[in-house]
Amino acid sequence: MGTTLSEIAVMEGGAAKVLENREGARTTPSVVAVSKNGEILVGIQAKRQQITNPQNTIFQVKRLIGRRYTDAEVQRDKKLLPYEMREAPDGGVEVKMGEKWYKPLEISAMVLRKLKQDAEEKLGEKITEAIITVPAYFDDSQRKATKAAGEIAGFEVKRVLNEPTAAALAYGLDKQKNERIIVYDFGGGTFDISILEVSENTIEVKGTGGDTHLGGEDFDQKVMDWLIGEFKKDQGIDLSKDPLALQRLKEAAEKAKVELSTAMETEINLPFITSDASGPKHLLYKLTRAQLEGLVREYIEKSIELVKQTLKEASLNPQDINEVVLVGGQTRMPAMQETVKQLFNKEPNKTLNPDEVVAMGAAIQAGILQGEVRDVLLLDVTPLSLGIETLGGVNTILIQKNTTVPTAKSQVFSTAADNQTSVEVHVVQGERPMAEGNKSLGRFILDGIAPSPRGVPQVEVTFDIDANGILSVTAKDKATNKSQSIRIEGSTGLSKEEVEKLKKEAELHEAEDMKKKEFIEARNLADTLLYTAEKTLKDMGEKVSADIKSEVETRIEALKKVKDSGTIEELKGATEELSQALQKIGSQVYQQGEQKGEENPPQGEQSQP
Amino acid sequence: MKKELEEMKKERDEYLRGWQRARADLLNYKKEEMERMKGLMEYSQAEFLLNMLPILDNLERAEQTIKDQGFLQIGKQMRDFLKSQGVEELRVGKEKFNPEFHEAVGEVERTGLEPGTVAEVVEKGYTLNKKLLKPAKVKTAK
Repeated sequence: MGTTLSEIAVMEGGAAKVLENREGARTTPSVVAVSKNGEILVGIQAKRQQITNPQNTIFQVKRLIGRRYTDAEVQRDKKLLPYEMREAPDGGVEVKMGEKWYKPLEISAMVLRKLKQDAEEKLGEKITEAIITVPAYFDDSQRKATKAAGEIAGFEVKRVLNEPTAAALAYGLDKQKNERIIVYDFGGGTFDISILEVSENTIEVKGTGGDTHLGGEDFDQKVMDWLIGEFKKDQGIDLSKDPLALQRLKEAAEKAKVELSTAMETEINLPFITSDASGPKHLLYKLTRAQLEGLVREYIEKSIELVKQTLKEASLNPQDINEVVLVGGQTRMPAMQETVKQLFNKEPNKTLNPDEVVAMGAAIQAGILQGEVRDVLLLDVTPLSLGIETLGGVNTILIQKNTTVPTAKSQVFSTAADNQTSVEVHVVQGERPMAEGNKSLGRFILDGIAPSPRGVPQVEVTFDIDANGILSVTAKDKATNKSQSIRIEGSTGLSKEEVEKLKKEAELHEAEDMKKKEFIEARNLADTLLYTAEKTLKDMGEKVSADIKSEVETRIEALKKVKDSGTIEELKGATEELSQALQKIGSQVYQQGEQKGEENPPQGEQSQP
Repeated sequence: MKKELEEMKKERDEYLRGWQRARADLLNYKKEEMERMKGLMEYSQAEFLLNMLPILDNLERAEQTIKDQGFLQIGKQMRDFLKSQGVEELRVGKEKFNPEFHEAVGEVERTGLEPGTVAEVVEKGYTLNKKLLKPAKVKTAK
């Protein structure tokens, strides 16, 4: 039950899943209205008629639920909300919708009933029990009212759960003992901070803070104001007086804000935004991420001040916090994540959808209550990729990172030189494309390979990780069935720091590593081609005309010259030229062969360790 | 010895059940994944078309001022393309405002129209395969 949006999630096959409503959306606006013809509308439909029916459209009722009319918050919100409000006989609040007065909990119940009906339609079964989430700062009266809303909607409310606790549950943070968690929840219209303490079987709220009137919508407004200001400066027209233009601006501002969470720059392009005596006017502005950050810097800083204040009230320092959880769509903004990270000097939990993490946590709590979430079998994943070193020092990955274990994977390799009778298998762990940049786990030699030309022997390398994270690497010569293997324990058991360090290094060296790898691959290709060319000349020299033969020989020399000292461009160029010269041999021999009715067997290519 | 055997039998059954369950889970997961893929494809097509509609809205705004034949043909091309993808324009007459298909963006004085009737379509609405893709933005009569 959010201030602006609500969501419903269920447990399915041991995992939480957010359900779509009838309109196909994963969120339902927490809006209820009585239309002009007396019909009650809930969700998006209520929102669609809000502009023309503001007095009878009730939204943000969460600000009022379970409160007393005389509360300072209620008196403040009364001035901001367009619908009528009065004191109820019991001292609570009542809101007017149509000709009738309703308690806020009755309005909430209508939203919950829609969620329930839509979910039942989706699942094809009745839903009788629910868990409803509320902010951690909700007092007893607000919680009771929320529970009552759920009961009116037809649920048996099994628990009224704190939103930050739900978020922590979604991240599985309830399993860590004696940890302090801070939940930074930047929603559409409210900002909540909660400090939680996890101990044996309980999650306790240690402190709360925030600002009930600060949210992502303030960011949109800033962008809108900026657009209006720029347009006024350039065109002398004030768009804030034009309701239709404002609508388009609002949508465009939000879209630009969202885009700047992933892009560094975006364009706000609104042709025909308005017109004056001289004709239509168009709006077109670029907005960079840095500009947006400048516009909203004050809000981010304010949120950090509030976090510090909340910590202080709980007599805690940033370093006392073990985990940081981000909730709310606005926390996708990189500058916000960065600022929070800097304060706590800790990477925040942000892998789950921040709009859905609370609903998912509620579903997980429901699963725990029903016994669906059992610690049946905790399957580990490989934190880093595992591979072997191949020709030229390249790291050839066999098992990708984040693969669930137990797992096994095989690949066939071959030799790099003629009459090579042994291969060395060097097992490495890490993301860097060159083997040397990764952690070496072990090496062994498989010998006894029958002497044959390069590329012919088939050596099958198998990686097998069992449920305990023990890695066995086996190399087998497919011709003789001779094999050799190594057992490496604890290949998944790296410490968190070690994993992070290796990942960071991979990121840091990504560009140079790729270059190096590209070079080595080009050189390997050149090597193979040189080998093929020389072999072809030797085998079929007589069948080829002298001028083609001499051309190939020249190209071979040219490629040899640049192979170890040239640039990558020279290397690629010379390889290409040799390859083309070689094709001439191919076509000549093929023509002769065709005349004789011969066929060349197809040739496969293999990588070589 | 017997006790040990009993325990092992029990353990074996447990493992067998776990393995069978894992096999079944995988098969079920595959089936669900197919369904999910189908849903995802429909969703991504709807998302794609939805993101295209603002371009058509602007094209239509332009068509009110620019009457060049070639330009108008581009508009037609775009509408034909959307139609071929199953996108249909919502027909909105002088009907009662219906929030299932309409989004109110303002009110206007309009004599001869009942209050709450659609007086003007500001941005067209569309359906995709008979399901609402985007509501029509309308002004209603006061």
